Amino acid sequence: MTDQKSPRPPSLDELDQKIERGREAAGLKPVARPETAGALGKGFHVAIEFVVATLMGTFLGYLIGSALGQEVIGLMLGMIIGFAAGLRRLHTLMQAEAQALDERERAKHGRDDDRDA
Amino acid sequence: MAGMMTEMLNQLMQSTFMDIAKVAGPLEQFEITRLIPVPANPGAIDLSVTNSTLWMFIGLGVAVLFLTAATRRLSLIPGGMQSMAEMTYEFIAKMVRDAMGDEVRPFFPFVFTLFMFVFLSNFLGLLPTIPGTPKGLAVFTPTSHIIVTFALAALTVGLVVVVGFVKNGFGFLRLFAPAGVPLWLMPLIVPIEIVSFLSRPVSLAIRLFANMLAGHIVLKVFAGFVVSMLSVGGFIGVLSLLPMLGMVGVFLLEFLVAFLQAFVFAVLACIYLQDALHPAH
Repeated sequence: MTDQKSPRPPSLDELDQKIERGREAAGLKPVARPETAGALGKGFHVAIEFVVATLMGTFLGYLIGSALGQEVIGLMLGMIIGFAAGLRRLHTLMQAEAQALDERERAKHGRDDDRDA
Repeated sequence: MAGMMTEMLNQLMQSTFMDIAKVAGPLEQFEITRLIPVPANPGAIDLSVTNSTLWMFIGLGVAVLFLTAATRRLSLIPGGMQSMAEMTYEFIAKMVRDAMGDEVRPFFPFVFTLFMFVFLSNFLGLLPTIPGTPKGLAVFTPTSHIIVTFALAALTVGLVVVVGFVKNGFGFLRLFAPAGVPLWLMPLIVPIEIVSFLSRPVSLAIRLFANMLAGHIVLKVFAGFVVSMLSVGGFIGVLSLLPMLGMVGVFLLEFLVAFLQAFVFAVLACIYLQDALHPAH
């Protein structure tokens, strides 16, 4: 009965490093997210991203439309593009969130495996 | 007993300590006051020194003084100040490493400065004003004004664009053309990506500004409840302890928000800088 953890075999560490390098090369490296931000904070974050993107698209559409003498068409098109940009931001955020969750899960299971070993 | 308590509350209401709370509405704390007016303004830009400018400089001064004092006598076994400075440094350094890897070490000073400035602007605004202080010198939160947060966000995104073009040349524009998208979809995807990119500084600015503004308004509203209930006196005056406890809770929450928002601002700056280095996605 001892608290000492058996060291991980070097081959596993090498494999971990290889996977990390591969993920990084594929642009899948998870970014640090504030862990302390609760569900309310996340919701606020997502809502702001979506609303701002929609408004920005609408504003830019109106601006370009006014320059071309077609304010209404510019505004409508801008709103549609802004809405799509908002959805794109949400998709990006959700992807990052899912990756971070996945990373945490992997890290947790990794530690469990260490304990079992 | 009740009579003694009512007497105490009446005395508290008449003290100068309550003056600030009595006169100011929840939004008055955000009022910009010119401290040193500059009469000759070039164009529409007002270059006067305001209370917002003053508190930005106070934040800057506190950061410089703290870090200078902490690193003046460095020792292998750090004292209190040195430990705090090292912890702050390590915290930001780890965050930058986690978010961006080692290749972006040159941007560490920018992110560190950004974090310190935002955190101290948020935090110093939570300090109570000393009773009797002239209105223009009362404690002020610069980050509760969208123009300040937008300037910081625009600076960050401006840096992203500059670094992106310097590192990748016109390859930076690949940021607006995601990999794997068919050519016929590009006319639709590129405007969406451009709008998405342009919305970043705005959302970054609004998030910080809205959090600071809302928190300070809630604090002031609770303070208003305390003063109003005290002025009624009697049993209602005793009940003013409830909003007072609420104020303590909100204050603690605001302290957390002050830190968290500075952290989020710095993390997002790191993520955007990473996009500048690796525009293809």
